[in-house]
Amino acid sequence: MSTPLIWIVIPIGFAGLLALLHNKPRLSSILTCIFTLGLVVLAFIFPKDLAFVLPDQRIEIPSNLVILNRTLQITGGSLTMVALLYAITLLWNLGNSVFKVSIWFNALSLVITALWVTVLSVIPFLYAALLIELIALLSVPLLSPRGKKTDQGLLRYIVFETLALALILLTGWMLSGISAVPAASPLLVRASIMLLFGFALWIGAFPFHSWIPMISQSSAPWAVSFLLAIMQTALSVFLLTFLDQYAWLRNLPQVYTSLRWLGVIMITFGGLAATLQLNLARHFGYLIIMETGYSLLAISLAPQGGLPYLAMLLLPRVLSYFLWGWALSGIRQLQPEASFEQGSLSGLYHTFPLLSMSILVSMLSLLGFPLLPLFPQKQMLWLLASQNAPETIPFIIIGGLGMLVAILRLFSLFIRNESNNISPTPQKEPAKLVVPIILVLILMLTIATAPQAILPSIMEILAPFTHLSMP
Amino acid sequence: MNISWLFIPAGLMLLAAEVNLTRRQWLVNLIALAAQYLGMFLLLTLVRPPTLAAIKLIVGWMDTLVLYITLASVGEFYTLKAPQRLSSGQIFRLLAGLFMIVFTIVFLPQIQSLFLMEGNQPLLLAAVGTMLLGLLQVSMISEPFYIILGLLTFLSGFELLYAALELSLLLEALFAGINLGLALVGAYFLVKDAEIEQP
Repeated sequence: MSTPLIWIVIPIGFAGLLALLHNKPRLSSILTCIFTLGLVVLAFIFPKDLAFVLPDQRIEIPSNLVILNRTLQITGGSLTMVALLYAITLLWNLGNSVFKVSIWFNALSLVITALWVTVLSVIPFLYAALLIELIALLSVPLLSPRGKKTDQGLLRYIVFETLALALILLTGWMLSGISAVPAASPLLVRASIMLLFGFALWIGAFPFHSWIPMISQSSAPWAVSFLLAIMQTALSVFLLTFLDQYAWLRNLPQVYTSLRWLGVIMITFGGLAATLQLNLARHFGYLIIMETGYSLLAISLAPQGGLPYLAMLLLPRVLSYFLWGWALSGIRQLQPEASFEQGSLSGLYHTFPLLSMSILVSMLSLLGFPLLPLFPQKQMLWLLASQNAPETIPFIIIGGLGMLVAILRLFSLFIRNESNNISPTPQKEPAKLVVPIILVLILMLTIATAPQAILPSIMEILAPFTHLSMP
Repeated sequence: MNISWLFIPAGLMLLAAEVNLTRRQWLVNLIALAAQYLGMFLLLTLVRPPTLAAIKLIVGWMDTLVLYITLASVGEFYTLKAPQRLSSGQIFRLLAGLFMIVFTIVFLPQIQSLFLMEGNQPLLLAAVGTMLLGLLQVSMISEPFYIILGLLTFLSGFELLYAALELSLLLEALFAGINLGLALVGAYFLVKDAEIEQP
């Protein structure tokens, strides 16, 4: 028994079992939720030194698993991240039993999560490029179920991930040359550029972002919010692996500057583009772009102590995505003809008060609005940015104002007392939709009012990155 | 060792990629794809034992077979059309592809120094040329089947290049998984879209 066996191999095997049970969705959902809950709890209670001390003996669980001469390694320090990834899967699988996105959701979500854990634990870590491509391919049935025409956004997603694979693997080959010849500076610059390009393709950085709003519009909100939430969380941490492993990379001053400006462009672009959107579902794509920008900003401020805020962004952000996905999926379930186009949103508050307000609360939370859980972290990031890169502040403000305008426009649409497509008579929001929203709102308010109670434990995600600056 | 004969499989790969870029007849495209993987296998024998090189051939032909069976079974929607004269769009793609091949041949010495490869000219020519043609295909076409063909073409070029740089069994296994995954995704798109067109 080893940690990769517990959190990678067994979940993939279990997913195979779930695939056999795809005709029994209720049983499959229950089994997935129990199994992922078990994995989350186990990751939390597992000793950090991976040793169980019994009265008469000490049992050490190995952290390595060798497959075809390559190693998968999950150390005690990585278990918090593993727990977070499986917690995301648990949350979204709970929702799948309500929204029934796809009969394959349980099995595929579990395999995708296990593969993200593999991405973060494979040595040499450049092999992760191939696993990320596999994840993209496995996402296809969730993003484009049968009965819907293949969307161009999905095709672009697969194309970009394939191009990123080539760039990252070639970077890996070049990096092996650099470690052998430290003074090979042309190789070093070439490798850095290719690495940044590869990452830009992976995360959907501007100008490779177009697929994110497209799939947000065309695919089921529940599937999109799950796939993008887990991808953004895992890739943010994966970028840290690169910076931690390669001293020459983190010592290049241009790397942090490039990441900072890439992040700031994404924040500005995400905010401005959101103001122009006429489709509610597309807003989620721009929120994702903006949040990726904040992750890059936090990473670029690592030497100045930005990393803890990156870690503390992850959980509240996931809760906001959950709230967004739940509210949109709830509206679609109650009103299957809802198109989320601007015209059909008029008076939404009068029809679905809690669901429509949940959408606005999740957007305000992601914007970093006071009294909501992302405010303290974003406030610290704004402060760090103003102290260390004041030239970025006007752009961050423009992005934030753009998103605020988009939210206020949605608010005015929601409360308008006239409607076109949606009936103005209030519809009963069933308890199975309302209760999770209230629970998540309570959790978000708890994090907002007492961040010191929950968020410090999340900072253990940074434990494996010993070479990066910590305050 | 005389490797000049390897320019024949390199030419075969480039020709197959050029046909896939230009023509829109699925049977012709699939035959070209199968020929592309044969060329790839022959070139790989330069840097790999034949048994390992054969894995790529088998996987590539399996991809082709998956797409063939799917296309053959989705019925009238993807009917075979008789060969037609080249349209203006096809001529444009043909010329763009030829430009890419000429570009690769002209800059081959620089590409060789970039990848620190002294020999292996046919392999490098086929790898870089096929990658560029695959890229051209995915950027010029919006139909799922041809995008998947473009990606398979791009990946075959990249795998050829990477095979000359590094040997790893796990890498080979993952590449095989990705290739098969792409073919299955392509088949899924074909079936799904055909169901919508012919309910």
